Amino acid sequence: MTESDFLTFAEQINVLFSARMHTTGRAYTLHDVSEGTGIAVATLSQMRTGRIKNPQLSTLRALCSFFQIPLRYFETRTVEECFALLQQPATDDTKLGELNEIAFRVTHLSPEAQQDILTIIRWVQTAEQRYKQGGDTLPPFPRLSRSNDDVNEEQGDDTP
Amino acid sequence: MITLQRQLQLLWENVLDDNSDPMTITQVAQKTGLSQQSLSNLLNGHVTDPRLNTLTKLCMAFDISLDYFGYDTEAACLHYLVEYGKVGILSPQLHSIHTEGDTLTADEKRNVLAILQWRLWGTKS
Repeated sequence: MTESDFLTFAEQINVLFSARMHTTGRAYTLHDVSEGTGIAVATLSQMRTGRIKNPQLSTLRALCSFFQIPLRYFETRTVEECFALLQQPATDDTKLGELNEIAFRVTHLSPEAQQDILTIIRWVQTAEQRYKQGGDTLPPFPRLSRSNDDVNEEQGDDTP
Repeated sequence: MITLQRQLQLLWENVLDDNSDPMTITQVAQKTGLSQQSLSNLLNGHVTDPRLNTLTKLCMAFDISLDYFGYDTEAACLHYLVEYGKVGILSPQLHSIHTEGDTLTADEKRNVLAILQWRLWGTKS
């Protein structure tokens, strides 16, 4: 794929203006969008007429935030693709943030330490199960590849 | 709020080329058609608000979506890279961490993350 495969920025913006409606049901005016994004009316007008073809990231982010669209909207290749994307409900892409941060950070650990993390996850799962069944004691904390005492000794008392 | 500079650093650190090596500035310059100076300016934070064409070229070079540059936290960027398989092939162990970790509640994930950070600290010492 090359950049020339994409719709022009003006085409993408004009689809936005035609498809996204104000809460009152009317089309957005340049003034509405200017107020909501901080982008000057004249700049927005130049975008719609194609005089501005290559906006900056901050401008794109402001438009995305205002129109509730993902940045990939500006990678669309056809008008149909634009409309399809606009019909998709907004998703919370960050809801798995912690999990993926775990998965990501773990890639930098040794296999032994990775096994420790898996052991800890399983311990948390067991503890959760026990709690749901009305238990009031935690299962014994598993022994890790590197002794817990060793790590505690090295780090003092600042453990979580 | 993650900076564009950090977003680019994460890409450079984690997205590998066909030989499973991190990409060099020269490689990315060749793939994007951007000058090495322009890439350096982005990487060292001298350019913080690049234009759409530049971002599109970077997305093509790293085979990512423009969405990546819309995320405002490091966790969200990491999520994207892990979710779309940009951080290398997952070992069976990592795959288990990913799938079993998914069954945890948000609080539990944060707890595991805290333990992991503590473990990382222990590994360094």
